[in-house]
Amino acid sequence: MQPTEFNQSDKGERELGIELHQRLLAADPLASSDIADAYLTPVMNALKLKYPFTDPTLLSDSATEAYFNYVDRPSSFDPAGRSLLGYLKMSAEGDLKNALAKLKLEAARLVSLDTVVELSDSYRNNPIEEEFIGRQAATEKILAWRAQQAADMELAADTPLDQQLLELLLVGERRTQAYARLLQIEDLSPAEQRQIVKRHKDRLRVRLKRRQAQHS
Amino acid sequence: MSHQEDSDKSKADLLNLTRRKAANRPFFLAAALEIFCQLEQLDQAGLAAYLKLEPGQLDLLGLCRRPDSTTPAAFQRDIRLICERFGIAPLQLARLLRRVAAYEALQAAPPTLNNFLMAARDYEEEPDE
Repeated sequence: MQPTEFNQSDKGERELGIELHQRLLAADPLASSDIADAYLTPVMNALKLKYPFTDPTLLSDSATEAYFNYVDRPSSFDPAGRSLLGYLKMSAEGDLKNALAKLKLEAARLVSLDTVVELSDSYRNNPIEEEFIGRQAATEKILAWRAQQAADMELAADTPLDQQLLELLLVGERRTQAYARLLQIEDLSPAEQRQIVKRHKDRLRVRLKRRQAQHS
Repeated sequence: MSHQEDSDKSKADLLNLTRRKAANRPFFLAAALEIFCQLEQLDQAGLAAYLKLEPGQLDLLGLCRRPDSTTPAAFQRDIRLICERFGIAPLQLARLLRRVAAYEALQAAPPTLNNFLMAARDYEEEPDE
């Protein structure tokens, strides 16, 4: 029995989960494949339902990470507790929350940089400018850092297209459509778009990290 | 595209993504299949043809655990189970895995042995212009 949707009772799903878990522990070479077949889609669907506006690439990454974590350490699942589906959903949601928190932090950092820059601009030629000397010094440091980021970005980008993609990445843009538009692949299916966009994002992230590592 | 077709495609995409990620994890058969493809310069269609499978079957095949080669009995058992499920000729899969294992052993060998093996290779003369 290899269901893709669990229309049966919870009991049926629980029994299937226990059976697959035992087969995985018993080193059955087919167990990991059967678990992927039976559970990846329901986990992904559960994430889609709960996070309808989140980038599907993030959702699928979280679902696959939960699967790999479980297959790597099956003992982390206790069949006496929740069902395997419940366990995988919880694990995937944990991964997703971590990924979202990371993105949020990154976005907040960029917003706070913009705020500091705007503040320093608005107090220029102002009688109380003196009070902001310290703040301006900080701003200069930040601007220098941003200039370095921009330089890194320019060096990491081989083409004007890469440059535009990097700009989107650095402002924390998560929507696949935004990248798909630049890549002119909007006529492809959403899944193909996600795949291509992810490949570009990964490539550029690696390149940017390499550039930044050369400075650190 | 009907709802059912759409759902089947999403599932196939997800399994394909997972199999591609599994190619970096030695636990999975996907990792051995990836090495074999590199050695034989095969794409996924070529690999499917080699194993006499439909390309769509490669994802679930790749997500199987790589057969345990620590003992001949365990290796035979794993090969039999996988081949029965996917309808692959056992000898074909066993050959593929032996080829990959030989390559991995060579990669893991100390550099001096690698040099020795390189020196022992037949010298191929350049073809005459």
